[in-house]
Amino acid sequence: MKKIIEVDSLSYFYPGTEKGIEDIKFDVEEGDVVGIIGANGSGKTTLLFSVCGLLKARGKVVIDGIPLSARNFNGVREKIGFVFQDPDDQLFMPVVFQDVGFTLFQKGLPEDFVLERVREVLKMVGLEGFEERESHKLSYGEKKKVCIAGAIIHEPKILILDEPTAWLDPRGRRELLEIIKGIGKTTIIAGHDLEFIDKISNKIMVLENGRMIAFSHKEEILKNPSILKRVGFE
Amino acid sequence: MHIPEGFLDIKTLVVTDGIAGVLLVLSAKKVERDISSESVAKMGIATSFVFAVNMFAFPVAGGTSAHLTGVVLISAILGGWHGFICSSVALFLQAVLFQHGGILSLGANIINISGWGALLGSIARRFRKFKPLAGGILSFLAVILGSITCAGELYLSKRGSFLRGATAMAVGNLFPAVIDGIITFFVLKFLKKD
Amino acid sequence: MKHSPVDRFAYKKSLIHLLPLSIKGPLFFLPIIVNSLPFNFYFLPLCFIILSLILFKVAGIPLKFVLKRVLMVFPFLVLVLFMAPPHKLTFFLKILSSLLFLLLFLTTTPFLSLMRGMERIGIPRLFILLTAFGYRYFFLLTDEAERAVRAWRIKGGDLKKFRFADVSRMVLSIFLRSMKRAERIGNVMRMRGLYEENN
Repeated sequence: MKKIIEVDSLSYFYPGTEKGIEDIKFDVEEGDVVGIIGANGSGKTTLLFSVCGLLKARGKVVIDGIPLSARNFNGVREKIGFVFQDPDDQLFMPVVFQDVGFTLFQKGLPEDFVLERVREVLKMVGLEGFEERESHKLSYGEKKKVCIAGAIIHEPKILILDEPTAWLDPRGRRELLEIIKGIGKTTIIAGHDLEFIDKISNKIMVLENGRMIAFSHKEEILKNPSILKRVGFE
Repeated sequence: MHIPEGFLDIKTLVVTDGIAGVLLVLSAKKVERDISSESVAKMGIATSFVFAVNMFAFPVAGGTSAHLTGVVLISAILGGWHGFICSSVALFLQAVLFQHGGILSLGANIINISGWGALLGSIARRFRKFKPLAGGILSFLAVILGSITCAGELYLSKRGSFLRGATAMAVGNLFPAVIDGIITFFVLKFLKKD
Repeated sequence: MKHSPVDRFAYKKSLIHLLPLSIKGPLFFLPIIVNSLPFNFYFLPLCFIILSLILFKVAGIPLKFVLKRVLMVFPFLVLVLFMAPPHKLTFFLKILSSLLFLLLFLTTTPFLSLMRGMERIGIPRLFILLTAFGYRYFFLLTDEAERAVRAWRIKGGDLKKFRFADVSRMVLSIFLRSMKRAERIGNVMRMRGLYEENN
């Protein structure tokens, strides 16, 4: 299978601290769904941000053949759909279609076309007819879904989700599972919800104190209780 | 101190809207020099912060409540041009959503509130050691000067005596000005500690 | 804080609501502009008032709501009366009719339509974005302010022992949380291509 993400010796430390990630190396093949687990502060979000170029990490990152560097952040950005942890951070426009269609509006595409695409992706996430709804009036679960719609509208190759199931009720988690399966892209999910990650991923990465202590097919990781216990999963 | 619709005559509206328009174009040019996603996000949040503290009634002593202008505070932290734009947009939102001030009289309100607030806030920003004290005093002054300018605009619209108007506006806004000054002082003081 | 203070009437389907913005805007601002001209006969603003009340009825906007909004300007009007304005009756009727037409325009126009109108008349993108964010996060911040006040009260905050430092700390915590949120939103915007920035 084609390698769609290649990471080698990736390190980032927050200025003035020893917190961050160190010497991370892994590859993701097209079609993989990778779950990243670890305790709070283990570096999950730092890793995701570093892979996307939001943090200027040291090391090598290649996204779908494009090496991440100072000059081509935009090229890499186009390949990725990122769903951030807090939907109130991601949903920054007042109306759903303005937010979901934001990336396409930025490219100068005509409103009719964008609206059509918005309708398509909203349908994919089970929010048909939500185009004109106001962001601040949505429920938490609805906001999450809108965020996913906004992240996939530009047809990225890779979907990255940071703690997608946080604060979601059981029904919300089930719906999210179906949505991500339905989208069917190479996916990276960081979180604490081992049950969710078990259901959706084929590979699992384990982080501890900024270092990768395991990365393998999920069956191998889940069969290894000592690794899970190290990062707080009893 | 927001001038509602209907209080100013046409020539005053044209002049104030014109001046505010020029200042907005100028401030946009200044701000766009080093614009980025991060700076736009900060300004967007600052706009909603100014809007929110303007509208929210914070409890103060004696069962009363007060609203902050927040313009000097934002300008002391982000810079005068940024503060000016953020608070002008906040004024527009207040007019549209809550009819706090008119649409045609928006120019006058921008001059009175954003103009003085951003100017004096940018002066407060230059202080290193005494920023909280400067911010507090200049915040108080911004409200008073804004009230006097407001009276000037009403006088230009032939609504009566400037002296009486300036006195009434200044006295009428004295309590909010004091509250604004004190809270700005404390916020900048705690911010410095953090 | 209750959300959507004005927009609650903006989505009705009356003739007034359905007027395109390009017609509604000039039509409803015309009386306001006429009122700002230097004339002193009260008959014209009185006609405007009667016309506006009829239009409010057509639009289905409750007069109780209209009255509440109009009364909001009375404190300012009292201050202006200290200036001893001439032709008080005409002045008062002009103000009232201008307020009514502005209110008519705003209560029958959804905020989203206004934003679209702003884009069409060429308002620079920066201002459109800031207007959008200002609106979007206003409700979030006022909810945070309410929570901060509630938390203060539950922790024993007492207006009899009121300290400016308490309110200032509330304002500061809202401000700091907002700026932290702004950093995160900045990341979101970079990923969504707001400005074609490279690192």
